[in-house]
Amino acid sequence: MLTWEYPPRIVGGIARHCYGISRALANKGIELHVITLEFPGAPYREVINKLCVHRVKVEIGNPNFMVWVLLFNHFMEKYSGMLARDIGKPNIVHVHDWLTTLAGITLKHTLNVPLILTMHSTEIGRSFGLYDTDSFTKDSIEWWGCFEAKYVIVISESLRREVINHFKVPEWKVIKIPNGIDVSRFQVSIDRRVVRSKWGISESDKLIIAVGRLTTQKGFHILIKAFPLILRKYPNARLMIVGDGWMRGELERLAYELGVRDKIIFTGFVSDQELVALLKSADVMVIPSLYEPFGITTLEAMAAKVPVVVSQVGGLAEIIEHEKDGVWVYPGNPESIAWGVDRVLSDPEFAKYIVHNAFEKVKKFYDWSIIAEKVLNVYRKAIGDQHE
Amino acid sequence: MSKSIRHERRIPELLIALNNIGATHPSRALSLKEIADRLRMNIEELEEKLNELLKIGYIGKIKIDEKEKFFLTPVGILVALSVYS
Repeated sequence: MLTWEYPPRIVGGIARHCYGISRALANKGIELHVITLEFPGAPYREVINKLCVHRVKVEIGNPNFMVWVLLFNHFMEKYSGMLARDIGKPNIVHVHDWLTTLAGITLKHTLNVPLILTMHSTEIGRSFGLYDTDSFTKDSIEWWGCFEAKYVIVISESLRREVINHFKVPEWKVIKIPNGIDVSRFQVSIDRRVVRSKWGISESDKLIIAVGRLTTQKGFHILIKAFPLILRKYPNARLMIVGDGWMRGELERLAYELGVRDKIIFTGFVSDQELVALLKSADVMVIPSLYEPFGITTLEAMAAKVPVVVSQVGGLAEIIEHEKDGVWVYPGNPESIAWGVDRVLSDPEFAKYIVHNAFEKVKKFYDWSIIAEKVLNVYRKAIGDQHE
Repeated sequence: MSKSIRHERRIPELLIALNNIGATHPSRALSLKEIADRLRMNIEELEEKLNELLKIGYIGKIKIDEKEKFFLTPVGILVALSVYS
């Protein structure tokens, strides 16, 4: 399995996905080698039962991002080739997104094994269009990966339609398997007062939490614009934004301009343990994304038993059923977000109802062991096809 | 939207470039001149930007042989790459 991010190198959802699926596959007795990139403090080789994580050193750099991607793909290919020589060739090569697709295609042809590609998003979706040469190159690599792969796994139905329509991939080749979650990780008891007091939040405050990379796609600027509207009805509301990203300065400036900076906490990156505690101490979680093929943080909120308010986009609208296990709001619409938050905060019985339903759903459909079985079926099919 | 996306690409340019040239660990830290040469940047402008990033913890600084060298911190790496994930 090739991925450019794997914990502790967590840039976005790919790292969390690869971590969950690799452990779940290894738990099912599959010998799995994850080839990823180095990260300060992380060992170059890490063995956990049947799972071995290899962190590849990128020996040559270049300021240009696309050149750097080509270079790290080369080092991944080289490392994977040496590994295959030492321990034997794999049955499957599985790559995640365009970033490792080129290395995967080379390995498919040199080792003569089926290639599986998991698409977590598309360039045209992430960037709201193709507007420069890099964008067109990424789009072309995505198309090339879909063409070369035996099967393309996508994480939601909306992404499946996007891939089929945009890349003209045959329907049979594109298989939806959602992200998963380790529900047990969220079943810890916390002292809400202690967790909140660390951030200067009192027990009576209404804590609204939002988690993710601070980028345009995630829509945090829309949530901040909604916050003054929320404060009108809930003067004791506090907004906590967990995560970091290029947009942080801009978001902080926006909060100042709107006069709500003192009510918003930007935590930066937090540990997994702290994230669970923060989720469990929140009154509502908002996912204000403008583009979201899946939205793994939704599952985290559902597992942590915090009511969710989500933009009605992509995978979010597939995971959440409006008024049953969460609340939909219009994407890009601050008034709608304020309405959604009020819907939850003003009716504690309704909040309990959606939390209960969401928790049952996440246990039933999104546990990593269930997801791993689906991925294994794709592997078996691909290997079977190869031998026909 | 496209205007803000173009803006998105400009903001962390220096962080991304430092990642891409491999200055991602104290043992691979680079001096001002080395970074300026590789990125074809003016030294004064570069120093000003690095100092800004140092304040917010995205960049680290060490002294090797009496020379100041700079590297991306783990948080800096993740922030830089947030543009692309």
